Order: sequence, then structure tokens, then C-alpha cells
Amino acid sequence: MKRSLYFKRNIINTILLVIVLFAVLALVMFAFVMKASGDDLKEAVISNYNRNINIHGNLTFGYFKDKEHYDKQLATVEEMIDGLKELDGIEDVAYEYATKNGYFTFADNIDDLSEFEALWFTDMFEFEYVSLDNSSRVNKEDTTLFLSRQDLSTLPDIYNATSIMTKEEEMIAYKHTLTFDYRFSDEVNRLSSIFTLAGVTGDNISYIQNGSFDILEGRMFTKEEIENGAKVIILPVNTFYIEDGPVRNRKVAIGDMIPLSINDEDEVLYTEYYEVIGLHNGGTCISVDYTGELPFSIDYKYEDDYYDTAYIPYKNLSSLFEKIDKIRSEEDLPLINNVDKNFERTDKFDPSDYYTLSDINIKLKEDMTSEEYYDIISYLEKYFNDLNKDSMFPYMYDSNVGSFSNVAGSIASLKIIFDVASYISVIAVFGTTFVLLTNEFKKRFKERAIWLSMGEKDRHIYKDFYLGYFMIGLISFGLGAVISYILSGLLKQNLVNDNLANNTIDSAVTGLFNDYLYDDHLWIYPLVFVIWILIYSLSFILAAHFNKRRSIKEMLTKE
Amino acid sequence: MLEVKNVSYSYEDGASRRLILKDIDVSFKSGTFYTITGESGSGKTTLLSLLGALDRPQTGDILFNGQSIYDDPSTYLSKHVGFVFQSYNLIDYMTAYENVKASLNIAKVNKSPENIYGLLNVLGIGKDKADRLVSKLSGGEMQRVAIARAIAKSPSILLSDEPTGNLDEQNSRFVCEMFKILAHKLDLCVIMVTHDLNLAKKSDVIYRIYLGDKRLIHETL
Repeated sequence: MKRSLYFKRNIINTILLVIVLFAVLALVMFAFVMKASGDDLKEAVISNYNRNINIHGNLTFGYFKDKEHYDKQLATVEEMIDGLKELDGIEDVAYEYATKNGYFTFADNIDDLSEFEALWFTDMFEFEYVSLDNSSRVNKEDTTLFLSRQDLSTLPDIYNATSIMTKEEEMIAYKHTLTFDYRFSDEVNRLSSIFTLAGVTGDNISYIQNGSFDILEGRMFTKEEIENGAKVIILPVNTFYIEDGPVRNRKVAIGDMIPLSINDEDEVLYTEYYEVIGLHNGGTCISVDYTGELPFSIDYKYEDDYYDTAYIPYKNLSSLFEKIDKIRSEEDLPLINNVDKNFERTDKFDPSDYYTLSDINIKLKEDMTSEEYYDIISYLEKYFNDLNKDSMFPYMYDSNVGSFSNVAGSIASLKIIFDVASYISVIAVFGTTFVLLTNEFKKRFKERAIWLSMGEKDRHIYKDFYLGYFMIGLISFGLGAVISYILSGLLKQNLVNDNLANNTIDSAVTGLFNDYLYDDHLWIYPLVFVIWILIYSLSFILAAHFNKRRSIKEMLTKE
Repeated sequence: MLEVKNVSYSYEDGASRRLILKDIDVSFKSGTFYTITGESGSGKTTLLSLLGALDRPQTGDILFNGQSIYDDPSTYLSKHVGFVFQSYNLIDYMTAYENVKASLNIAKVNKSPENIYGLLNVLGIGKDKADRLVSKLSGGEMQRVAIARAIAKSPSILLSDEPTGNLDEQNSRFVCEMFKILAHKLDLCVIMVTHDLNLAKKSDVIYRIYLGDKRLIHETL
């Protein structure tokens, strides 16, 4: 009965014991959480960037070689905006500009400088990166990754491949995007034009057949057709723009000859007949399309409907490139050069340089578990590491907060902090617990011998001692859990959110609950509790058992 | 009253066993003040811990009123034995009063607070000191509290291991006188381990353990 006085009378020691224990436990739990959710945290870092990258009209990040690089690009953009504002009717016009460094797009109100600026930054990602849409992950919907073609083949569950750009022979698709800029032309009353061509090369169609682009009927091109060109075409069953596609409506069948109306360079329509050799279920992903107004155009026409999506052999497209280049050099080059000069581009526009970036959608099953999901996105790891490479542009501009930061450095630092914190935690836990328990129990064992000498029964002593330490363990566990809970929440909040300063502790805790309470890591807490109590009770009972003679000896020791 | 029958004690020292006590045969009677002397390491304290059932001999037995003390060591210790140690071994987070009270509770002996304070007072611990944590008391005072704790439950045997080792001369004299009184007036069997022959001379019977012999020899000084 009086043994419980130990904690009461040694209140400072007891509080210290609780503090040390809960600090140790907090460290343990922190290490657990860090270890267990390491992927989550890394993913959070990555998805944070991507979330900003992918939301159209709200894109905020650009990557630059250095501050000077950034300043130069920003100045150019501002100059362009000034020029654009002088033009009427520019709003609500889709605009794309392609350069080696990327292109920018705007569709809404260009008076909003920040938006335009952001849009300019949108595609300035010249490093190889992978992005992961956090919101998509939560909703278990499609996740967009940006992978190189080489990596494409390693992903297990691709169901859609779009915008693959390459000039390599073995590639199955080729997309060529040209944009002609008429902004500074008084003679041409068009603001922009887009001319996109795509074709199929090579004989490896397995990539396509893995995905949504399947040949439903007929066949793909033969090698000869690809290399030499042929008046053959593969049509989609459904098109992107025409809800109920002409193939289905008009019962186009394999072997039918369909007329394609094509504008020549003098904008005179001429017609060529192509034989339908295949029908596919693809959308707009790999397409031959044209929008906008150019001195020339290619319209694939079947009766009164226009198809914006079709396949024709690559060779047929090549001849069109020559026409485009010719017109460009003869008529539009001065205008282009004017723009080029503003941008001080040192590179030549060459779409074949775009062979590294592709859009890949990973197929996520509805009932996919987190583990399965992580297996798939584990491919992100190396890209995450790539962010540390010198080859990338290390500086990031975030137009939301107007800050300019060294991304590679901060991510590398985070990784180091995660790793070091985890290891230190484990060492600290074992070391501190050992020292603490050894000293504490040594003292109590001597006391136990004194009680024994007074004729007290062992089980009574154990009961009182154990209850006391159990209470301390319980208190330290509670405190440790709360502290680690908040700490890890704050940390994650800091990683995920753009600006921690805008978040209160409340939101951090709320975020934490959202992140962990419904998360797979919830099992950690009872587990740690059980381990904690086991360490306590077992170590005390075992140590007491093996130290009985020693503690009696210590009691009898003459000082 | 307390009979030691053919007791030998050894402990493991690495691969071999080290013999400490050999064939000890001795009887202790009530109303007598015994001292056990010997050199350091001769086994005096070991014998005391055996007499107090804090340890067990490998061979032989120790009987209290004809019954082995190892049959029910808790009852033996709580009701019949009081311990006084050199380093006091009080519960340091309790007051002097609480130390005595705790011992009485274990022995299931009811005594009023007045009795306990009275006993402490007889031993030179006034009420103000009785209510202090023992860690705040001097060495002599702590040993007086230890004696009070040992005798409060009216034991038959008082075992004491170098009780004056940490005390000054005046307190040492007090302890010895007190042990004599306890033996002669209260009919206790007092067994004190000491290496101090001058102190031993004050006892009724002296036993000595020789380092090499490991036996208990009756000595007359």
C-alpha cells in the first residue's frame, strides 16, 4: 500500500521519468510513422508538385537553370503579354506555342497576368520527371504519370498511352505539333493555328494493343504501307468530337473507300480516297487532326462529317511536313523569327526532340488496395531520385506564393532528414530505454529486497511496483502518442501544403486525422502500445526474477 | 530457539563453486546477545542472511522453534525477525513513522500511532523527526529508526549486520547498549555481525568464523 508513495514522494523523478519515456515513445512512434509512411511522404512531395502542374489554368511551377534564367523568361512573358493586350478578340482563343523549352497555352482571360504567367510556366519542365495526381489517387481514378518511352514498357498496367513523341524508328506513334504564330501580324487576322499530325511507324503494335487503342476490326498497317505510304486509313469507331461516330452511324466497313478532303497550300480542296483497313476504339490519343486556320489544311472528310481522328501511314504524312516547312519558310518565317528573337531561343524547333515525355495512364482497379497501388507507383522512386540530378533545372518558381526555391536541394534535404530521423530514433529508443530502465529498476530492486527482509510477499511487491510502472507507461504512452500524432501531422502538412504559415495547429491535426485515421497505418498505434507495455512488464518481471539475489546482496552491502 | 543444523553454503564462482560456510552447527537462545566476528569475506553476512531466510544453504537446515524457517519465510521474517543493517535500509521516500508502520502492517500487528511515536521517542526520535522523510535524518537517527522498525513488531530474533559501521562512537555505544537491553530485558535473541572485537566483547557470546576454516568457532575473550 505504501509502495505507491514512491511515485508521489519522488514527484520530480516521476515526472522526469514520464517525460523521458514519452519523448522516447514519441520518437519511436515518429520513426514508425516515418518508416511506414515513407512512401506516402515522398508521394506527397511529388504529388504536391504535380497537383499544381496538372490543374489547367492554375499551374504555378516552372523550373529554371538559375535565377537569371527565370528573370529572363519572365521578362519575355511580360513583354508578350503587353503585346497581346493590344490585340482585340484574343480572349477565349485556344493558343499554343511550341518551343524547345516548352509551350504555353491560355484559354481564358489573359488580362490576368498571374494566370498567363502560370500558364507560361506550365510546360517548362525540361527534366525527366514523374508526377502523380494526388486527388486522383484519393478518388482511385486514373493517375497520370509522365514517363519516358523506355519506362513505358516497364509499367504493368497501362491502358492508355497518349502523345508519344519520338523519332525513333521502333516507336509506334509519332506526333508532330506545329504552331504558327500570327500575333504580331497585321496582315493575318488569325491569332493562332495548330497543326498536328500523327502516324504509326514500326511493326511493334503491342504497346497500343495493351491499351485502349485496340484494333477492333481489320488490321494495322503493313510495314510496306508505313515505309512507302499507301492510300489506306484506320478509323475510330467513336470520335472525340462527334458523339456517335460516323463509323457506327454510317456503317463504314473494312474495305470501304472514303473520301478525304484536303486543302492544298493554296487552300484549294482536293479529294483523295482512302481505303478503310481497320477500325479502332481509341479516342483522340493517337490521331491525325487539324484545327485552326492555315493557308493549307487537311480535312478528313467522310460525306458531311469531319473526322478529327484517323490513322494514315506515316509516309503519307511526311509529304505534308515538307509542304508545311516550305510554307513556313516562305511566308511565316519572318513572323516566327520575330517571336523567336524575343524569346532568344537558341534551339531549333524539332519535334523529334520530344521523345522522352509521354502521358501514361495507369489502370487502377476499383478495389485496388494501397499495397497494389504502391507497387505500381514504386516506379516513381527513381524519378524522385532523379530530381537530385544536376541535369535538371534545380530552381522552382511558385507563382502562388511568389517564392523562388531550390527544389532539388530541399527534396534531398527532406530525404536525409527522413532517413536520419528514422535511424536516430531507433538508436535513441534502444539506448535511452536501456539506460533508463536499468537505473530505475536497480533502485527499485534494492527496495524490493528491503521489503522482503521485512517479510513482505514477493507477489505483493510485484503488484504494487508493476501497477506504478504501468500507470507511468500509460501516461507516457498517451502523451507520446498525442505528441507524435501532432508532430507527424504537422510534418506531413508542411510537406503537402504550399504554405505552412497559413495552417493552424487545428488544421494540422485535422489533416492528420484525415491522413492517418482512415489510413492503413492506424494499426501502428495499438501495436506500439502493446510493444511498449510488453517492454515494461517483461523487462521488470524478468529483471526482478534474475536480480533477486543481487538485490539482497546490495541491500546487505556495507557503505 | 534458533538451531543451525549442519549448514554449508557455497556459490558458483565461474566454473567452480566457492565454499563459504562448512558444517555449521549452532544454537541461539532467547535472552542472549550474540556476536559473530571474523575477517572480511569470512562469511559472517552470509550466515546472517541464512539466519534471516534471505538465502538458502545447499545442505543442512535452520529451525526456528523446531520448524524450518524455509517452510514459510514470509511469516518467519514478518513476525519473528527484525533486521538492522549497517546502511539502515530504510524506505527513503517514507517518514520514520511510516517505515515503522509499514513493518507493523506486514506483520499484521496493530499499534496505535501514539505507541509508534512513543517507541521512536524512547529511541531518541522525537515527533518532529518521526514525521520527516528518513532521507532527511542523520546516520545515527536513521539507525535508531531502523532499530524501532525492527523491534516494533516484538520479534523473537533481532539480526544485525555491522549496525555501528556508519555511526560515531556515541551512537555505536547507544546501539550496543540497546541490543543488550533488548536481549536481557525483552528476552530477544540478538545476533550481531561485527568485525570489531571491542564491540564483540560487550556481547554475551562470541562466535568467530575463520577465513580458511569456514566453521563457526565459539570464542572466549
